[in-house]
Amino acid sequence: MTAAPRTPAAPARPAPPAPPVLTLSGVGHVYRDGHRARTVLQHVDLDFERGVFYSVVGPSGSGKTTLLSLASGLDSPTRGTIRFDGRDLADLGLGRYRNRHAATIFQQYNLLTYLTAVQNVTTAMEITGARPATGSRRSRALELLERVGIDREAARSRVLRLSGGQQQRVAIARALACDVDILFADEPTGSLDEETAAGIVAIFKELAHEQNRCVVVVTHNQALAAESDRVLTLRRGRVSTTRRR
Amino acid sequence: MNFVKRAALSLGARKGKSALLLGIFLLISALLLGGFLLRGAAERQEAETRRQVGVDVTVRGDGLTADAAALIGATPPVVGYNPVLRGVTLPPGVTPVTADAPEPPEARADPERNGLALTGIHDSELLLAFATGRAELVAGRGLTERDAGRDVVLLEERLAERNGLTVGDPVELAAADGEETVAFEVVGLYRSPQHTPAQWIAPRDLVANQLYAPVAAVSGLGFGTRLSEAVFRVESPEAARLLRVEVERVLDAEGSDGPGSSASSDGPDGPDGPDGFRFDVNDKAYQDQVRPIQRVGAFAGALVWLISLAGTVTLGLVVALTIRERRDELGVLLSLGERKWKLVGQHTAEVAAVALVALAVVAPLGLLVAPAAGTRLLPDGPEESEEPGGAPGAEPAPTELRMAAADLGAVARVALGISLVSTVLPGIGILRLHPRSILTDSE
Repeated sequence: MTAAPRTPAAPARPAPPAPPVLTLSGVGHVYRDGHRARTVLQHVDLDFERGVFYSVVGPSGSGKTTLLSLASGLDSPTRGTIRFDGRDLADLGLGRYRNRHAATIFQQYNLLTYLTAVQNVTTAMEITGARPATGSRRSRALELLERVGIDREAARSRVLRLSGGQQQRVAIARALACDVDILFADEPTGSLDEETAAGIVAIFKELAHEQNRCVVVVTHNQALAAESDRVLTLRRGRVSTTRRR
Repeated sequence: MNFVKRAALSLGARKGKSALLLGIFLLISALLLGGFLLRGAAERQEAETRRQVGVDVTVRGDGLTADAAALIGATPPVVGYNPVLRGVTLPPGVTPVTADAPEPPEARADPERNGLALTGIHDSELLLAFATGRAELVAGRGLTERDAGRDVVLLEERLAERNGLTVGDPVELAAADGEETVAFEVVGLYRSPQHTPAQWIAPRDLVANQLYAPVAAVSGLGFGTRLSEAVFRVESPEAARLLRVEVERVLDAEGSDGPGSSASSDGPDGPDGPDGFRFDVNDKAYQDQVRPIQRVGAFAGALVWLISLAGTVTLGLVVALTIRERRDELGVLLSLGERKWKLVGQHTAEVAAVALVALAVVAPLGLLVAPAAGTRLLPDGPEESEEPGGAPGAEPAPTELRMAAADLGAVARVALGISLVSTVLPGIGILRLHPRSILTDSE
């Protein structure tokens, strides 16, 4: 990819721009199936900054989910490097990166089905070592669940007994509980009604703008994309446009 | 240790599968415990039977003296010995027990027919009849090496009853020449359940008329110093082979001091040697009683291995299937940055926790079932035989299948080992898992 879109620095600002939290340099990815190879991403150069809410849009098969997988440390690129705070993820370790710095909200929720909603959230906190400033992990988990619209009764239910929308919200609460630098989400509002979706978007914005986190959302939902600060459009494995709000 | 907590939550949530796993472990633990108990009981019983029965090696020969027997008795393979000096005494004031049948006329030609068989020994406990429980003391005590030099005697209770003798009474025994008598003290009465036969047998050949006294005392009655035989108790046929070497060494050395004696060397059960010594190994009791116990012990050992192997394979397959089924869960945990060894640890903790519960259930059951199982599974202890001179009918030693903490510890170690191997091996697959391939759809 030759014309990698970089976010231009604002010329009027007196202070130098904050360094990107995540940098993709020449990233490409090829899936191999026996002798067949399929290129999904081609030479992507991208910077993700703290305090910014990104949306990634594009038609199906354009490489959105692959981009999300690579950026969130679920997979390694077949070409190029990804750096977190200037450190190559290969050196940092993908497991450590996922554990300490990045959280992902999956389209299929990917909850631990044998646990209750609140246990899903506290388990994630235990694994990532996230500790609330005050109170217990359980009380923090209940608070986050309530914030995404899960009441106490639903919080104590096994997640399999919850509706798709409720499971989606539990997955969001789990990601929020991890207290990470970058939050990735794959169609996070796909199962939600408009009102709840709006509430989730408000949380994403708050995370980015008030807590200085980086939020990256993959979506087909143009309304959601319109709420983001920057929209990255993927087409045939290339980032074709970047729009700054 | 959050993976342990997850393991507990997982077990609680998956009650059906936990119950299945528990069932498998109960079976494995019960079989393992059975195997260990059986092996332990077989080992104890083998040791006890060896101690009680052992192998008796009888050495006979014209030049066999009490001194030579003492030298052989002091060699390492020997756990005890009896120098045997036989004679027939005709005590003036003692009436022998007789058979119910009338005495045939031709028997009257034998002047010693109404005598009592007097056997000089060191230790009555080493006599086969006593060692196997066929004969038992009913009053007083048996003869020991401490009685050497004392004029004491052990009587069969029927002879004592017939003559109104009891422990502490004096009894006059005639010397070999029949001219003088020596007063012996009755120190013990024994019971030999062999019945007095209905057909005529000379009184001196009846078990009821068998007297035992210290070998020196018998020698002092003029029955000489050359032993009829010496019986050495060793623990096994292998030890008997070692003893043979010692016997040859001692008797060769003794022979070099005087004329005509060396041990025969025609095989372990050696027939007559060229110079008149005979080396007989009586391991019938050992073979009859120890070998079956050893076979049971070996079977129990093999059983433990077999159960361990089968248990590991079965649980390994169950865990491998479980891991396959729980790939999504593993992917989720990996996506949260959980370490792979903790995922393997969670599975191991789940299986190990079930194993511990199974052990807790099996332990009290083992205590209840073990005694009954012992009597069915193990051969009885030293048992009666029908050897001449013996007395059948003695109570066999009870077989005990008792559970000790060590047995439970052994089961726990094996069960936890099975848990570890059966989860770690399939767990290698976890180390190869990649969260993206599990959690996201390929575009």
